[in-house]
Amino acid sequence: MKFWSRQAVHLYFLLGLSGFLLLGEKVFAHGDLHERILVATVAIKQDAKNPELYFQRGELYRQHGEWKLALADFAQAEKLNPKLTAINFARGKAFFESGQFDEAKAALDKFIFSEPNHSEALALRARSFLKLGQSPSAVNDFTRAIDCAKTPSPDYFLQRARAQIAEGKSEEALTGLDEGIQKLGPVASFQLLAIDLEVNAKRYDAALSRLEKSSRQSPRKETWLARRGDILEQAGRRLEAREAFAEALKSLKLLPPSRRDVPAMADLEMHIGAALLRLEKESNQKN
Amino acid sequence: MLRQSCHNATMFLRLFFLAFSLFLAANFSPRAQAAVIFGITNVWKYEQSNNLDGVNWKIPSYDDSEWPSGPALLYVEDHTGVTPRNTPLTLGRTTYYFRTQFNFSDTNVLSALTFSNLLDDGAVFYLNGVEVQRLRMPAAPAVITYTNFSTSGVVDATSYDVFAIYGDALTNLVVGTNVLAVEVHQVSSTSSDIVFGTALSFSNSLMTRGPYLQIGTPTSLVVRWRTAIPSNSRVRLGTNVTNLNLIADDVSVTNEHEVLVSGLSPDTKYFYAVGTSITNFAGGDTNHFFITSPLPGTPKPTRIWVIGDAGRANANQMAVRDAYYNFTGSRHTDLWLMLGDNAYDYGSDSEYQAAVFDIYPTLLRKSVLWSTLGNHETGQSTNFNGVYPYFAMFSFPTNAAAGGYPSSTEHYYSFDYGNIHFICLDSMTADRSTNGDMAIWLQNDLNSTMNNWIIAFWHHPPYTKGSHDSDTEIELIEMRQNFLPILEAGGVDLVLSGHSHSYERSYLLDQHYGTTNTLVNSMKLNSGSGRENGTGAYFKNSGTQPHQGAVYAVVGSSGGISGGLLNHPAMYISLNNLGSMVLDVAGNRLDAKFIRETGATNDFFTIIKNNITLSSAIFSGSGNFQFTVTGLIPGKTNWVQSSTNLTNWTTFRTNVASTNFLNVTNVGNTSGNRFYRVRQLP
Repeated sequence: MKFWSRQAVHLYFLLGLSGFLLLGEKVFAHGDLHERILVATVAIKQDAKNPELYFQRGELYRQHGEWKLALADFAQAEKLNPKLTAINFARGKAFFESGQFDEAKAALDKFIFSEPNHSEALALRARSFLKLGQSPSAVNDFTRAIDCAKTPSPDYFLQRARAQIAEGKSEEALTGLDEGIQKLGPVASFQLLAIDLEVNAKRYDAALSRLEKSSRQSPRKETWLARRGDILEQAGRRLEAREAFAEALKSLKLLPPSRRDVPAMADLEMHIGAALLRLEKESNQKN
Repeated sequence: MLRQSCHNATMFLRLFFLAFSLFLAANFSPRAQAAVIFGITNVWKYEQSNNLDGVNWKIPSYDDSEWPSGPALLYVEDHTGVTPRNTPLTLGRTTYYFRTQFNFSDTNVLSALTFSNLLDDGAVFYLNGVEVQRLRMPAAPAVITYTNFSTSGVVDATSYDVFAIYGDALTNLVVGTNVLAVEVHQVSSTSSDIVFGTALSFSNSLMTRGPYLQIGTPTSLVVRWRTAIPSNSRVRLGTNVTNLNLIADDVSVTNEHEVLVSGLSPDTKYFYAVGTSITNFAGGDTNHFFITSPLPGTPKPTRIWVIGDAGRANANQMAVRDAYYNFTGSRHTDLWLMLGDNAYDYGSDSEYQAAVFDIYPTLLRKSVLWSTLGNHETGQSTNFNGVYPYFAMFSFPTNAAAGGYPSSTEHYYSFDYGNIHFICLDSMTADRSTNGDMAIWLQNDLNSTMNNWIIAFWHHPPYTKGSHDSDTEIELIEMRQNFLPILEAGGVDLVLSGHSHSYERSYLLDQHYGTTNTLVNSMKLNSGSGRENGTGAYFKNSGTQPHQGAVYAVVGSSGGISGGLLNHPAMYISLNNLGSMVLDVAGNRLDAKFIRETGATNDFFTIIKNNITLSSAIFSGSGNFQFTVTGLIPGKTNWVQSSTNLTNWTTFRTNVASTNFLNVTNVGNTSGNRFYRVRQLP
């Protein structure tokens, strides 16, 4: 019994080690995280001075949400090879994901010092700044992240704009969103936020123009028409608002029941109905 | 001893995989291959003393034995960057003549000869006496003589001029000895240098990838392919295989061909061929066709093949493929979905060649492929901005070209096929927060669709206990917590993912967004099998009403299995088996099957959407009238009720069941308005 147990242990070890040798650097290759961590651990036992292995296992621990173990591995990797700059990026991710934003920023500072054009790291530091309530620095890093990326993530633009709005810099936010539209195309989230900003600035025609562009891309118009009614009403163009709401209602009624009888459309219908009633009353009072 | 054992085990595995790779290459892989005929230092005979106008020096039988010879580069050039300079020439001539011989054993395997030239300035090339190419020389039919200058100069021949000949230009290539003759012309009488050298290679196929089909819509489609040789691109197509009377062109010269074919008719079969403006490389036969999508909202019996984590390029992957091919037989696959990890380990171009393009060539050329990004497409990177080969190889709609709402990115997108709306999300690199762009786009997209079915797919499963754990891994948790509420409110019917190398399929679920221990029975809207021969199909209301329940399937075993606990309580069935999923959607019915690599069907389920309607009343005299109830679900009990005020309802029939069609006669008082409804009991 004892013999077979030992054989089993050896066999397991052999399989693990063979798997690792076969994969070489591909410790990241597919499989359960636990198994991959086990394979990395076996590899570390065989080659305890290899900083790459600690780094890779640290990344696996990070993916698994085991922050302390991840950070310990990163520290060991750094001890074995202080020139392994990628460690600070990984450490930044681990700190950020575990909610330690000061530490995340500090690690990313070090990484970005050595890799100043790393858009992903810049964006992560920007998010750390946001968590620390430092919007101006966040805006600055998002801008650098956008500039450094060939095709920046739409979320860089979106998060930068939100940070700018939080700082009361709506015009800069709008400019930034338009830059995003120019670079990435008519991204829905950009236009919707830009419409809100135009309305807040009482630039109703600009808002309507943006709305028209977004509406053109949608096969269904009822939501956009109702939003058009809202903007026109805010602009004091009540007659046009009524027309827009009426058109929205007509569009809504044309939907098949399966589409119309959903909460979102019921809410919209109530919203339109209330708006039409309100506008009707106002019209009657004037008359 | 242990180390030796490890070494032996490793060597064994390495040898096994090497042998297996060779077996694959020999038996399954129609890979294009290239071979060098001679290199850049090839020895050439040369003539730099005479004007050979009027002398037929280009033909094989010309006696060049008196010409001197030397290895290339043959040159007058002092720029050190021009290498390898081997045989000096003498300035003072307008034209220099060169000849060489090469042997070719089998013209049957040849598709193209590629010439890689270091040349200063212009040249004309002849193969066995027949002109095949001019470089920087007056265009044909201008007759080239000794006194012709090159049309433009080369400052220094530091980079290669590459061209290829194929098709008719190869007809005078012979088995045995061939003669290549080249005349090199100066750009002017004062030119201070001359350089010549050519490397020659052949390839056995012009097509090295594809054709494959992308972004299918009712009226258009993108045809892609790769060639060994750069050329312009042309797709010839037609509804009759013997008359490909339509063309779509791209004039740019490229190896990566991507042609948008537009102006097509919906739901129509087109045969096609791909090639250049002068010749076809592939197609023009009954094996090369596609069927355009039906118009949006138009129900059409649709077959969909779904594979996940398939990209192993191994026997498992091929067994799963062959099982599906056997299953579907002559039934056309309308479209297919890849759920990510399509090519291990890094999603590189060569890995994709081996695991996708060489594995599924017959399906790629006739069924539109849609895919989502897995962790192996990015080499484990979570960087949205990363430059991944995946996006170079595939075309996905960013501008709602195939329906839906524009996403402006290929990372996530949607498309329509008939009455099915498909949503592809990026669970690997996109922002998964509820206020991120992907979530906002998804909300807009769901608000835009009119289709009856919604199928969403991405790589990381919201529920799994296979080789990954949806309770502990961040991508899986965030997709479940942040995206399922949006999708379920939008009426999603089926969610497909991979990542775990297993097959796991849920009950009809709703609003389970937490970890495993938060699942309660009320979240299982139907805790049966979903099988008509078991506890019955899963029924939902017609259309895409919210929170009617969805089925979640992990289809991650199309290339390998790797176990796991497989006990997620949201799953009706969990299997550690190789396989793929087949979906058949017809009208208000969706049938799904898990087809194992053996051909066995180890799971199946059905979703049916109620479509109960009441016809207008038809009076039959004496105050009686009749209407027809249609769309009743077999096995369910339904009540017919009437009301005069839409508030108080009176049940007057309680036994409406078992049939799809029923005539009901009302014998009640018909004065005033009376409303009728059918109520289905749970």
